[in-house]
Amino acid sequence: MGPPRPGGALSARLRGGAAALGAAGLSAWAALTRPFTAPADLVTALGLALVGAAAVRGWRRAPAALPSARRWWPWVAFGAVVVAWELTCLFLGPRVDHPTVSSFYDAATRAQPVKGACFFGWLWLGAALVRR
Amino acid sequence: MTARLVSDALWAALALVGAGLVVASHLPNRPVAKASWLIRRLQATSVGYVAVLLGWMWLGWHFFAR
Repeated sequence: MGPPRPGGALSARLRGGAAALGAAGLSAWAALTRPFTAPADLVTALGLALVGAAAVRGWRRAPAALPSARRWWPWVAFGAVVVAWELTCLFLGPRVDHPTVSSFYDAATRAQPVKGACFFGWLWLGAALVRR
Repeated sequence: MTARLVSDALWAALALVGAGLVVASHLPNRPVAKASWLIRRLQATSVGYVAVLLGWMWLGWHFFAR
């Protein structure tokens, strides 16, 4: 491996800035869409494709070493309880009496800025997940 | 007490527990692992990496397309 290229940090920052701008643009578009429509499918597909491409590009990179194990079981227990309660609400009816996560999400994202922020957060999460 | 009140109270309690876990994972003595550590641990294998990404993809499809 040779010496670092001059301006490498700058180009990384520029790439990061461009990615953030692109994500903001996609999120603004997503905020205007409604589920079960072609524009919603398209903007979601674009997000999936971009993160999918980054995942394929980074595939061969070895994962970074992890620090030693901490107590992880509280997260697993919490996740299990959330999933169990979500499934309980899903199969109990009606939805107005037993809201699910989707019910809260639908109520919150009636405001377009909130929907855009959620879409941006989803893209950010995807970018974080493909960084090994 | 209506069923809706009970449901809302349970969801609120779960949200508080989740927030508590996040706070606990950032304390100096780290009584709980960070969620990011757990996800990275899951992604340590190729199968886990793909599974986590598929989960992320499903989230996007479910909340934004459908």
